[in-house]
Amino acid sequence: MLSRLLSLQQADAAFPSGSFAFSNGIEGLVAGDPAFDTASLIRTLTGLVRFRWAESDRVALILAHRAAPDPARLGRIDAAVEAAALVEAMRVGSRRNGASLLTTHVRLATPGADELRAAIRSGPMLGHLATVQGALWRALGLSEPEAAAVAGYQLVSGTVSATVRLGQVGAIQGQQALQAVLPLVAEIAERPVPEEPDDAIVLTGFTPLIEIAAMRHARADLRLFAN
Amino acid sequence: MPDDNRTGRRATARLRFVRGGGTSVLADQHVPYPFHITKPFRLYPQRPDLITLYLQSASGGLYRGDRLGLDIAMGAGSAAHVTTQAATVVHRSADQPACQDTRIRVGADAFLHCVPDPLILFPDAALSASTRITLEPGARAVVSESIACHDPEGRGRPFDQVALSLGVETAEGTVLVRERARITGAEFQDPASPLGPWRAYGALVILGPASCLPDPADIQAAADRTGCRAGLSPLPNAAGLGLRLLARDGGTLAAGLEAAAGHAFEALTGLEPARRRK
Repeated sequence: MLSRLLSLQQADAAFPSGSFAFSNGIEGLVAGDPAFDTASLIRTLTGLVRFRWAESDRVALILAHRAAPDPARLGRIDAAVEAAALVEAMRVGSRRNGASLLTTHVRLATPGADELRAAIRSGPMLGHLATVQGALWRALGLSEPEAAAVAGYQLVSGTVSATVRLGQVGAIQGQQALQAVLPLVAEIAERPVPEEPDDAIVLTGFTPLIEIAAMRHARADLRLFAN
Repeated sequence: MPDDNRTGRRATARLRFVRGGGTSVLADQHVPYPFHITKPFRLYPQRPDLITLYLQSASGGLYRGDRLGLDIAMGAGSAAHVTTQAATVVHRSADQPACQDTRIRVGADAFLHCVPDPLILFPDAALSASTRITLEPGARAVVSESIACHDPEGRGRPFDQVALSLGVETAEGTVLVRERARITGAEFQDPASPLGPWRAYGALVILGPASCLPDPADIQAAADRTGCRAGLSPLPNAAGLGLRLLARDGGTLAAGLEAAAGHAFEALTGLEPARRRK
């Protein structure tokens, strides 16, 4: 039961994870599509979960959960996340969000948080969000599926929250979109992840529409979110 | 299924360019069927060391179970522009995907521009295409991968699946970029497609030292003018710039890629791209 409650704490919007600063490309999509509505949001969330999170961030998270607290193995996962993130705004955002989450856990004295921060500062790790989440949540006692569920929930709820804050959909419409996509998150969070390969870790993702939106928006004069 | 039972062709074309006598020379060529190449052209009188080569398929595209490879090695200081004459069709191959592996090695201070026309996925086509680029110090390259779908009967039937992978690494084996994409034809055409309403996709990497890279805004504008939706970003590990491109169809995609690649060519060589007959 405790691990479930800890999962709720980690997923809670009141937990200072730093994710409020990132829209995961939604701000760019909305800027390029004034007709962006609840149906658009559901399609976008579905795409993010199915074509990026499922085989990229989620895989990195689970591999990090297994690799923790070994900084060399975590660094290898970080390097794979870095090499697979072609969009600078997403890549830098992932590292910044990882750093914010880690700072909170250092202050909460989460086991292993200090060592993670030292590994990022001294070089073996880059500190991408998925890697930091996997390492910290294992230290807190979350299982692999619990960690995946929290990360998946945070991705979709954070993206919904960003869309509501942009004024593009209302709070109720946002929750409708969230409800619509949660079954997909649940199904994917339960999928097995193969053991870490001996050769290169390769992450799979394909979200060109949202990536192009994030690339274009990165050069916009006025932005509410970091990506 | 054991590999021996697969249908399809096994062939790897190898091209090796070297610098010699103040120019670039195609020093080695192994071009088995279904590959075919033209003679090297010199389209730039002011840069006689830069040669252009057309790579052609003698067989009308990629078929079920094909395993085709293309190895391009650019010797130190050599410069080449390798292109195609037309888009390549990927035929019905659902149970045995066609595989196309491109391996490129760009030597010190060498330059390669390799922007083939899009791969056109016919109904039930299955494709696995990978591009691996190895860079030595000072190497510069412009390389693309691109896909579109087309049903010759106009019935909107989807392709089966496609897997694309792109890797860039240093000669010492340090990975700079490594991405992999996978999607089924049904997902490609779905209302929740990660392409949104677009139906053709391309990527272009512009690799080289930061000092010689083009302005991303110029390339984005050039591609946008063709009717594509483009975005550019600095690549991981300071490898260069990455372009993503979406278009409504293969023809528009090819035009957008040509416009973007032309700007990249100009930035990396100082030359305006020559008009190429296709």
